Amino acid sequence: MSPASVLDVVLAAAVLAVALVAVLLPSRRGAVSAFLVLGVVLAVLWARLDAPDIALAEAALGSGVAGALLMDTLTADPARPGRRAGRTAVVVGLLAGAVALAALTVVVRAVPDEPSLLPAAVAEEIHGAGADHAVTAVLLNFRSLDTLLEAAVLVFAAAGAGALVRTPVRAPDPVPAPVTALARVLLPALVLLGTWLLLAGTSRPGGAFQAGAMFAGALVVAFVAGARFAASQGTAARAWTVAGVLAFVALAAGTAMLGQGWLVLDPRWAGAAVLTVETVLAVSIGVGLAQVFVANSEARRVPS
Amino acid sequence: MEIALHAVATVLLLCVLAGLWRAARGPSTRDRVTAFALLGTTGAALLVVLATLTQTAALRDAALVLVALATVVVVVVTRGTAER
Amino acid sequence: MTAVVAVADVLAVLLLAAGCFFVVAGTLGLLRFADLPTRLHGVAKADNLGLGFITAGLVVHALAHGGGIAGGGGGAGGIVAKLVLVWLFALLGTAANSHLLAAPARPEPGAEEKPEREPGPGPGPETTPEPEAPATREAP
Repeated sequence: MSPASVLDVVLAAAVLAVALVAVLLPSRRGAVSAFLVLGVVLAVLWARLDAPDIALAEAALGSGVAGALLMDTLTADPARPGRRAGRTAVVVGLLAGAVALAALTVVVRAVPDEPSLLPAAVAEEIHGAGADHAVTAVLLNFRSLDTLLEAAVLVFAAAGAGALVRTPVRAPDPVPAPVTALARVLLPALVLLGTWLLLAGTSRPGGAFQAGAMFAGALVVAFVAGARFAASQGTAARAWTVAGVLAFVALAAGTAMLGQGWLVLDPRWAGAAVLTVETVLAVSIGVGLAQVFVANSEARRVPS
Repeated sequence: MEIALHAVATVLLLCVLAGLWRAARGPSTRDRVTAFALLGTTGAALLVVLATLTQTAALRDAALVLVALATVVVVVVTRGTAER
Repeated sequence: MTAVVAVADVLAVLLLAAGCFFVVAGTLGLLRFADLPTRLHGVAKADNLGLGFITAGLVVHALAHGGGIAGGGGGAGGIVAKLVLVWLFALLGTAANSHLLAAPARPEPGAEEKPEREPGPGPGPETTPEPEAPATREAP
């Protein structure tokens, strides 16, 4: 076996093993920890599959933001004895797994062997799409309606989480000195990293969602370090959460009324439009994700 | 050189798998998070090795993201457990 | 292949091997050491030295072989800068993480556990977890 195939076999086995551990562990904390490890392994798997965009997203959202959210929820939750799954749950789980496996097999086998025509179509249209990187061009120009709806999902999630919290902003707990020191370094670094990912998205993997995850990380760090602006559930935070979708809708309405149709971008200003929408979207995603985190964190403190 | 990079990647991957044991078993949440911090760094090392191997610059960005956000996770967790 | 590149390759492989050694050692420490502070000690070695040597090896590789990145990057300079940045982030993260994670193990006011030198049937270092772990094994 060549070294490359050894690595691939180990990687595939690792993904399966970590996923099984995450599902089968009776201890909830162990299962969540294994799930976070799965995020790391999946990022490596995507990298190995030559999909750096998804590797980046998985590293940022799958193990970073989701990790912070899940771990925060867990540590607040009192530890309870692990419960082994009952027989019904095992049977239902096995059945569901079998159905999913069968469906996946059918789908995978239905994929035609010949290479798809889409990459060629994208390469043909990419001049004047507003972004040199194919994935960004697809996300923000060719299939921008999908991205608009994805951004809307986050708005609903943030609104739902925010509805659980009715308390005003409370005074921050005394923050340990290392956290404050770390936040002072980490916050600008994360913002810088997010900005880089945002700008990089026009010519290479990166973009609004990854940048938004970085901004969310920065806001979460600020919140944990006791910064007031990050704990806010006020009008400004809500406005920023909605801003991404509103900017997108404004662009859609503008192109529909004045241009050639819904979300059809003129090559002359497509680049500016894509970057503007992406910037607003990234900040919006960052604030939205941070809102979910803060709401979750505040909601569980209310009863005590 | 390629063989060496592949070997390094495989060793790092096996380290990630081994670290899973500590993450899954604990016993305390802090042990799990210690494991996660190590696995984040090992994963970042794996990504930069793959970046050189496949000449994909974006994977170095992914490594940066992983390292930075693993620190965020640790900060969040230690705040949670310090309260009680 | 010129002699310089060959020497650089050997150096890169040596550095990568050293990095692997420290990562393996740190992972073993994480698995085998008895309590959290010693585990953190092991993990810090893997984070700082392991990742450090691996990035150093890749830096040497990048300097010897140039950029060669699709999309016409700035040659080796950008790669080296990014690799060093990854390592610096890891250094910062590890220092802060170890400090934060080890905080309750120090005998400080507000720390819930007693130091492990408790005489008699006091909790040993291995028995300071949340009650979850032992209960897991006994659960029906």
